[in-house]
Amino acid sequence: MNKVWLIIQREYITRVRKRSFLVLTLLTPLGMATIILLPLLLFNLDMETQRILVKDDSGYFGHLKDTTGIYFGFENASLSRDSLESIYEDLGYTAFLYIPKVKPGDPTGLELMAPRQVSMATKYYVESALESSIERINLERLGLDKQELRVRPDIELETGITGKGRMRRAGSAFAATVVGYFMGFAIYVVLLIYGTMVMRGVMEEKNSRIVEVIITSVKPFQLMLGKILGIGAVGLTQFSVWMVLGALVQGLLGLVFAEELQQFRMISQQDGLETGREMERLAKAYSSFGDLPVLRLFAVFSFYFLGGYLLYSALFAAVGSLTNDDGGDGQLYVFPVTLPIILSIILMIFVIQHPNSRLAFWASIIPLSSPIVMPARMPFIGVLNWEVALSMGLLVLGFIASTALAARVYRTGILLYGKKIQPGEVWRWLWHR
Amino acid sequence: MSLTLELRSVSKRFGALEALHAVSMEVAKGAAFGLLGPNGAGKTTLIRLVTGILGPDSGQILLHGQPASGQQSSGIGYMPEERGLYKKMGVQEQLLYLARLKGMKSAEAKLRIKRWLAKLELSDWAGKRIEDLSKGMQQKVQFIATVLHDPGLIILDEPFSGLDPISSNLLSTEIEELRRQGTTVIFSTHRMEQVQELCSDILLLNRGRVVLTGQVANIRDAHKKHLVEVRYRGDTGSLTHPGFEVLEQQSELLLIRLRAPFAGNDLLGLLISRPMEVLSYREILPSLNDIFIQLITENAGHE
Repeated sequence: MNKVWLIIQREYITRVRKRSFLVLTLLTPLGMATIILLPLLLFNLDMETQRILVKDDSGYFGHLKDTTGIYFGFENASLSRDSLESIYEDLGYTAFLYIPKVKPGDPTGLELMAPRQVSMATKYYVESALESSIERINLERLGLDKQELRVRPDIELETGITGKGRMRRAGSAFAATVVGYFMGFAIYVVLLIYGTMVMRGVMEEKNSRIVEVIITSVKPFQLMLGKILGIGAVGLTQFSVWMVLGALVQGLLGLVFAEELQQFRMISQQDGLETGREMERLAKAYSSFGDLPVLRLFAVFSFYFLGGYLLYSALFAAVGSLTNDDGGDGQLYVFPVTLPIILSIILMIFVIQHPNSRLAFWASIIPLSSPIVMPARMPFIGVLNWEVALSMGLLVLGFIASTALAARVYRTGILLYGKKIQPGEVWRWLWHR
Repeated sequence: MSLTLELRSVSKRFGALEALHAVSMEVAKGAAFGLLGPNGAGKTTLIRLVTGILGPDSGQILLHGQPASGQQSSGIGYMPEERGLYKKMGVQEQLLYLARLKGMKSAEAKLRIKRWLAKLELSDWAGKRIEDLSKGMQQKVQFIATVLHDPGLIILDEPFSGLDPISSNLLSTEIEELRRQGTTVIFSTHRMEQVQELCSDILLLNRGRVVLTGQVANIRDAHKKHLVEVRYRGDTGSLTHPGFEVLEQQSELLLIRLRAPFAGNDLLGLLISRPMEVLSYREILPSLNDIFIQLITENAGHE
């Protein structure tokens, strides 16, 4: 075991001290933050301004509500449509809105013209400003007050957990979905990134022939195990750093953009009742994450993280041992290993929508798909139950079996050079002594 | 005479392919042993059996008189033909890793690494990565990795391929030195002239079977064609004689095949009696290369 420990150390240290590891580990969270923030930053930096001249022949719209970057003007109303349309640019406007003689119940034939095509956002905003105005006019015509009326009020269901032998508590479908997606997707990424890393490590050793020197000192199984565990430790390190950095970045963003968020909230409130309720709902959704058993979820997530990694990295190691110098032949074997991972993520998307279906049950029990599907499903079904226990037990058996089978392929594969390895041959290595 | 390595009727199959068939061999302690054979003869399989990477289907392998168990591999140093080192690792770091995998203590290993690097003029490169070294230097590092743990048996697969003459010389000096200290060396190679020069004993494999084994001198003697080369000055006179046949005669050179029981001394006696001066007399032994080719082609003919 002492030798396995030496191998683990080498695999870990040579990877962690690489510059590319440092860069990737530090830059990934920053990159993610940038992707999220960049649109927001650009939005603040530079927004186009539309000054729209309105010619209102209907006489209903004495006023349209401005917003940031879109302003309406009603000057020179006495001039004809044609004249205004030919001089609106000279008056300092960027667009021309024409409202013909319409009835409030049937506003058709309105035109928004500009020297350059206006954006969708501008079009939508102008439409909604017009609609709000007409709504107000229509309500006034009927002698109704919008605030009191609420013809179609918004309904928000409270969801929760109750039933035989269950403690009644709140539970948010939204929070479960978000957390489920995150956990399933994170494990999907882990399996692919670190699985491929194991495969490439094995290929490097085989193709540089160092493996021949090393297996005069250690058993092939020890070498494979050391590599898998060493790279697993690299993965844990990287993931921990990402978690910590992610939390830090989130905290920082909150501080830096506190002012913007406050502004946004104020604008929304001015916009009226609808958006105010939207905000309230968002805030509630945010706080509903607290209803989830976060620590227990995290513990079990870690279990599937490790179990899934051990199961698949052994298979990836076997695949690496089957490649030859050109690396071409290996492709044939990479596919059968990545296929179940990709199928799992597709299954996961279905399972999150139908977490109590029979398919969801089986997909989260079978060890090939359970590392991705079960963590995604757990926020819905809870952590402490027999399904999770069964799935975890089977995953342990699964990775023991995959490691044993992979070792049989690996120990023969790493020593075979220069010839294409046929699937039939691999099949024989698996089942014969 | 104590044996470092002994194989008793060792066989190994891979599916339908019989890689080794009843191979027996004995390598004495301190010997320089040549393992020969064309590609696919079974050399690599034999080495892998000895190093414990593979197990034999039948037969016995004894290392230092003990049945090989795979655990004694720390007593073997193996340098594969296709050299292998981690390209991104430093020289010193890599040697230390390999030494510790062989079970050496860190402090001891560091000391020996330093000594060996100095010996092979690599001290300045200790901190460099393998990929920054020339091919010849990489091979020297590979050699150090092979002998660092002071194994009783080292197995070198084509040790001189790709080395410039100076490095090649340096390496053979070091190998000689190790041998004088009692290390047994097995060379696996195609290069016959080197075997002839370096090895006292050989084993020739072809298609998994032993074609020829024994001491180099004895083998060459056994395969000799009774050819002699004589350099002379003067007049030879008529050279028709039942005891020998002149294959070629030039102004100062004779190539002669002796017919037993007529021997070298008889020929010399005859020549000295003539009005000529014998400048040199040399028995022409077949090179291992000739024997090798002859045996392998004969072998193929029997199939």
